[in-house]
Amino acid sequence: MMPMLFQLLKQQWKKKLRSPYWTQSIVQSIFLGFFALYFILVFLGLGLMADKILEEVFPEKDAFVTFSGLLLYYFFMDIFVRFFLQKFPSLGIKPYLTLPISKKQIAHFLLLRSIPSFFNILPLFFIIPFFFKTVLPNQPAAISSAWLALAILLVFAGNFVSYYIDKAFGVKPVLAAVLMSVLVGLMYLDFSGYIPLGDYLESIAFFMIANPLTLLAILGLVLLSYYGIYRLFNDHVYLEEQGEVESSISEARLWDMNLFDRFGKPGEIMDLETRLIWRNKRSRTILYVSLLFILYPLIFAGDENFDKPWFMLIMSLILTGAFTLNYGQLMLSWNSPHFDFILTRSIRIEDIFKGKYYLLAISNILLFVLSLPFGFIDARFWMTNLAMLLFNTGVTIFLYMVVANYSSKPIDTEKGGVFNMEGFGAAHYLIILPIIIIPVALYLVLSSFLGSAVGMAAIGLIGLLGIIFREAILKAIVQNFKSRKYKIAAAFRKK
Amino acid sequence: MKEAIIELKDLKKGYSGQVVLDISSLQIFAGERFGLVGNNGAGKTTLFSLVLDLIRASKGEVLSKGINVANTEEWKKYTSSFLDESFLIDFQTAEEYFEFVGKLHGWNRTDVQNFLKQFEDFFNGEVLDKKKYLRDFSKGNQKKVGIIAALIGHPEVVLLDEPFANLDPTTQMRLKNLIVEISKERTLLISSHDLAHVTDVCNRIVVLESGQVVKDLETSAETLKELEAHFSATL
Repeated sequence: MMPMLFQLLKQQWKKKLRSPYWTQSIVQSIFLGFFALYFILVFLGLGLMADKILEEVFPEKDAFVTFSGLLLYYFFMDIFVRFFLQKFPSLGIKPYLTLPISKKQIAHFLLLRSIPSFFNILPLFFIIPFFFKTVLPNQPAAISSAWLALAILLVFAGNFVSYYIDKAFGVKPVLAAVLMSVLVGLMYLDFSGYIPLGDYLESIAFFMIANPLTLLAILGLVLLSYYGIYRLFNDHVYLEEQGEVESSISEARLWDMNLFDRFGKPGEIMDLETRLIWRNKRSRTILYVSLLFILYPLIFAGDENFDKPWFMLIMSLILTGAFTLNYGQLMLSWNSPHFDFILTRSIRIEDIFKGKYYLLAISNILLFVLSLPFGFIDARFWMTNLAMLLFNTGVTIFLYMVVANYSSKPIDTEKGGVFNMEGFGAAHYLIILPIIIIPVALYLVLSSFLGSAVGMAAIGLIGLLGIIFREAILKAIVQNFKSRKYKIAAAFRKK
Repeated sequence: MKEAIIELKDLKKGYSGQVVLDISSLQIFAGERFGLVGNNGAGKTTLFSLVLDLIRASKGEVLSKGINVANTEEWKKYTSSFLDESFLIDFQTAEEYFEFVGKLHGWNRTDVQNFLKQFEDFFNGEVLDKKKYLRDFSKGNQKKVGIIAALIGHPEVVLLDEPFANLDPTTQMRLKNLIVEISKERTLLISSHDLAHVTDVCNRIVVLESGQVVKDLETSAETLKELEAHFSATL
């Protein structure tokens, strides 16, 4: 069995190395590399300094006690975070099914391959230094080893439990939303003091460390979820259940409504695009994530920068532009699977850009309305949100259109994943800089001379100018597209 | 003298120094059933892509009704094509796709439905009312959709790349009849590896080799033999 697993592993590794997307985007690999390194250093630093930090924050408690109490708490958060961020392996299974490899081996392989994930390695950079610096020197050997076992078992449990949820419910984002609200609800109840959840989890953690035999329960959880996924794979190893073979669709997705019919030709494109968004996995994920971004400023509540206007501007940029920033940045790549259709049919490319523009503008407005309640936390949000609504609609969308003309790559619209970077090039990262810097710098400069209101007004005015002259700007973008269309089309054919 | 509906003039396409298509002159006349044959890499798809302005010619031009296809989009109103899946919109159902194509030609839903009725045999009950997206169709059924969609809007010129490939034998026969039927009022450009089929339906066959026209035949009883001899000669 082992040599076969090894073979599969080798082939998957080659698949990764040889995928055009990997070799083509060096910038991206470097970016991801730095990203990973950053997190490793942060965790390593935290692991080494945790004792000091925890004693600072909770001076009345011992660092070991405080942290151990947080372990189970972390575990629940971990499941939640992994569910949204971790990409769990699913083999490009088709070529293997007809070879003499048993389904069991394939299932075990998929399961084992989830272990060397960044999400499992990263916690070790915290756990191990913390163990050697804070736990081992201060605790008896039995307690120390129980602590280490618990910490590592929880990493595995987090991996397999969220893997199970991902595979079992991966197709049901509604369930994910329910799960999340339950978790958020529990956290809220804990914070607000209705249920001392943290205390319960703390006592459980201590009980386990003191009675190492109970650790078997966690081990049981690991094995149970492992077996659960194994069963899922074994029962659903057929192609149709992996989404590789035809599957019928529910009537619900087949609505017969044309929302934007009255807008003429661009409206037809808008209707096409709304179907595209709803019926493709990647765009659907982006839609949900954009809605989640509404909660994003809450992460920073209490941060010392929270009520600084420049920081509020950045939050408003993301609040009102969540969909534009996420969906809009792949502007034309969404159409890469049917690009030749667009080029050979009597569709005016003007209408395509117009349709996309209005659709994104509508998303900005909807998100603006949804984020109005932030004004009750701080009334200035109304101003920053309005300024950034105008800026996103009058500037950001156009910038992404220009990027699309120069840096469009094909994407698989049916592949989901929050950290899916397919279709991104250097330009997609660089363009974020002006989108953030222009409004913030404009505000900082103008407000220091002429006051805050003028700074806000200036950002809004730039956006407003873009909106007023949208026809002219779109025309220029379309002209530019026409001179680049062969290059874009050629890129889209390289799959 | 007949008027050429499509004319290739001094047309060249090369990638990094390697010439993949080099045709000094080729005229396709209105009403012709034009068959293009050649081995892999002979330049068939390149030729079609140039006619459809999907790639930029390195030299020369393609004229459609006398106008360079790269300079105008007028030809899109009377030219339809199906080369591969990227001509389909894969997240639509077959009905939605037909309707969308119809809309582009100013047809309403009823127009499209009436039009589709005549192809019920051709679809063989595998295309309409299926409640699934085109990306979940088999290759053969995708091809059926693409071919019929290429007839919506009564185009004057229709380009089909390998129309017989992936189709079941019955559908291949139906397609042959269909091609003869529809070509009464339009010009048809077909590329194919199937020498028998292509000689059956086309009244003119052009053989490409390394990007050049090596044979240009009016179809007769001997054409198939001649083509078979030509392609066996290199064995």
